[in-house]
Amino acid sequence: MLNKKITLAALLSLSALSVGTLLGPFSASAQHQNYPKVNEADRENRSQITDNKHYRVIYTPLPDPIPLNQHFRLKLTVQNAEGKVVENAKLYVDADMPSHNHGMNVKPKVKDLGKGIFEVRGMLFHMPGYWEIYVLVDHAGKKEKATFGVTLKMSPR
Amino acid sequence: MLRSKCLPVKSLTLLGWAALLSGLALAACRPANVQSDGAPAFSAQEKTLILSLSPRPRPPENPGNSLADSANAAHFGRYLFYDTRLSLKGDQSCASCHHPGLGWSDGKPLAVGLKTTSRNSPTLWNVAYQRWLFWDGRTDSLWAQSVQPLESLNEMGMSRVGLLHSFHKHPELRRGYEALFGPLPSNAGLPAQARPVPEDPKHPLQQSWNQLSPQQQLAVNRFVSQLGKSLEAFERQIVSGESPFDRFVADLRANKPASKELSVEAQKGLRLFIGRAQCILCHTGPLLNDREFHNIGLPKHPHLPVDQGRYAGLPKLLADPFNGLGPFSDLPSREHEWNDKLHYLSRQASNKGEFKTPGLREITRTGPYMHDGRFKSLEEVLLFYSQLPNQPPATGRREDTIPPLELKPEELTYLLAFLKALEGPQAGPELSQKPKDPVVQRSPS
Ligand code: HEC
Ligand code: HEC
Ligand SMILES: [Cu+2]
Repeated sequence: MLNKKITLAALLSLSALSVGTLLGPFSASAQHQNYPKVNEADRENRSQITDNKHYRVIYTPLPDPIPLNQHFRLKLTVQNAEGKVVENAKLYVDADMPSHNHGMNVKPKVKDLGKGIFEVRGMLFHMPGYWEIYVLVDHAGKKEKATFGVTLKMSPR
Repeated sequence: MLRSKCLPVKSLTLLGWAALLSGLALAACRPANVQSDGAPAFSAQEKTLILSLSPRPRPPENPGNSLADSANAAHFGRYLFYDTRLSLKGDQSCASCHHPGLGWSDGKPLAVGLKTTSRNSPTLWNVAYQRWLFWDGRTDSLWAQSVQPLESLNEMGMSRVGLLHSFHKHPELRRGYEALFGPLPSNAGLPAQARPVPEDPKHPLQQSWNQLSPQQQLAVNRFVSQLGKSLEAFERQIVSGESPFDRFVADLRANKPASKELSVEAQKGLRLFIGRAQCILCHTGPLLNDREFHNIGLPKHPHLPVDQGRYAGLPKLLADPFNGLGPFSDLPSREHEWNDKLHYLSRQASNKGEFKTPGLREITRTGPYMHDGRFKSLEEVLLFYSQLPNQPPATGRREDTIPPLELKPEELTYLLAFLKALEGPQAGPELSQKPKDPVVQRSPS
């Protein structure tokens, strides 16, 4: 019921009313502070290169867009720098609201579907606003990190 | 940015607040986002947020209770809800602490049953929308929840075996049960009172429970879960009617100009609620709650032990034999998506001191406020959010989304006016009275 298609032309991202302005400096949750910063231009991009540039990670949420306060899944694809499928990687996935200094109330589970495709189940974003999804790719002795920004909006009922 | 520059900036004092309440009006000039009558001219962005708060949808389904939406079960559930024979001393029913005339609560800071409990009785208005039950979310459905007050030694003090005896003793209770569920399980040879006591294996009630065979335990557990499922069917009907706020939103949705459904004050309060005060971050959606848990940093209660809230609730939730993963749920499979909320739970240090965000519909009717009933009035609640006490949180860490808002006296009146506009009609007799007969009487056709 909350993931209805957005009908109003101008939609507010809650970050426009950012609590950040009330709180002063941005403070990322300590646990994920070694993850790469998302650059502003690339903020909502669903495709990101890992910090050491060996992998590209692409995600699609299900349902799409990510619903507020409902379980959703992610389909993640991991490729190497040449765009080839990466097999036998291990993935770790988590998410925080950096400006609120908290994470999710759930612990998602990652399933390797083979051919560089992973399914993450049990994600839940319980608050509107700016979230970051953190992905750790553990492959061939390398551990590389990627960060995705997602702004969760409230939609009219 | 939504702030009007024209209102005099005053630091908040109790006195100033009281003066305002007694009707002192403040002059204001008129910025662009304000209409001629002083009401906010809501931007497209604000409108989107407002439209996310109304109307109230139908309650979510509960496939874990096959009778959740059965009218017959709801009728019997209502009969049980008001029945004092379900308590040890025969003097209490669910309605003792969840009274329709007291906002489906009891008007007390802390609930009083056989003893005084350590928590405030939450309202049952719109309880069907909750994802978790109790302030700490230690059960996952209404039917699972209801077993606990029946058996709590501080509340109704019964036990599931004692209840089974009562149903054998009282023909109406038995008739109501059998009309829905078939023959009442046998009570032959069972001790007078018995139930599991997970926190104390040596407890006499647990010892008596150990005397039952596994089959007997299963039958008694199924019996008490069926009472719960009837109670849930009734509780699912306790939903708010239309409030002035809903009518205002309907006007806004239809682009009707200058709706008179909300006072100018309440509209200003709404602007604060979704804007500068950021209440909507947690009091989200049409019930004005996110159904999850937060630590808003209430200081330690002077007389009560520290309450860890969600942190202590989570292990109980997972150990509850009546949860969605247990044998008494009507879900077609344990892998049903309704159970996702259990499959992916995680307990974190940040859960310390977290309590469930209450809904705000009917909030004027349901005081005192907070999990420990520490605030008598909504004014006190708003003063808390405005100033935040100097003392540290009782436990855990106050979330960063709770900064001191330093609301001006007039802003406090606006927020209060908005909260008052969330009140719908009182519950009718079809909810607020015990039916004469436990079974629905069919009119001859
Ligand atoms: C002695 C007072 C008392 C009685 C009697 C009582 N309750 Fe409650 N009820 C409470 C208190 C206090 C809580 C909150 C307890 C907690 O969070 O630990 C509560 C919580 C609840 C909740 C959870 C609401 C929510 O939003 O989380 C429901 C539902 C409920 N009671 C239904 C019932 C039913 C059904 C009965 C009768 C079988 C009943 N209660 C009997 C005091 C009472
Ligand atoms: C970080 C999330 C969060 C924000 C932001 C927030 N609240 Fe709350 N609110 C809660 C929680 C959690 C409780 C219950 C706390 C407890 O009992 O320990 C609560 C309790 C309340 C209550 C008492 C309800 C009851 O039934 O006892 C009212 C009224 C209220 N909030 C109004 C507001 C208003 C108005 C604002 C904005 C000024 C606001 N809240 C901002 C989470 C939040
Ligand atoms: Cu947040």
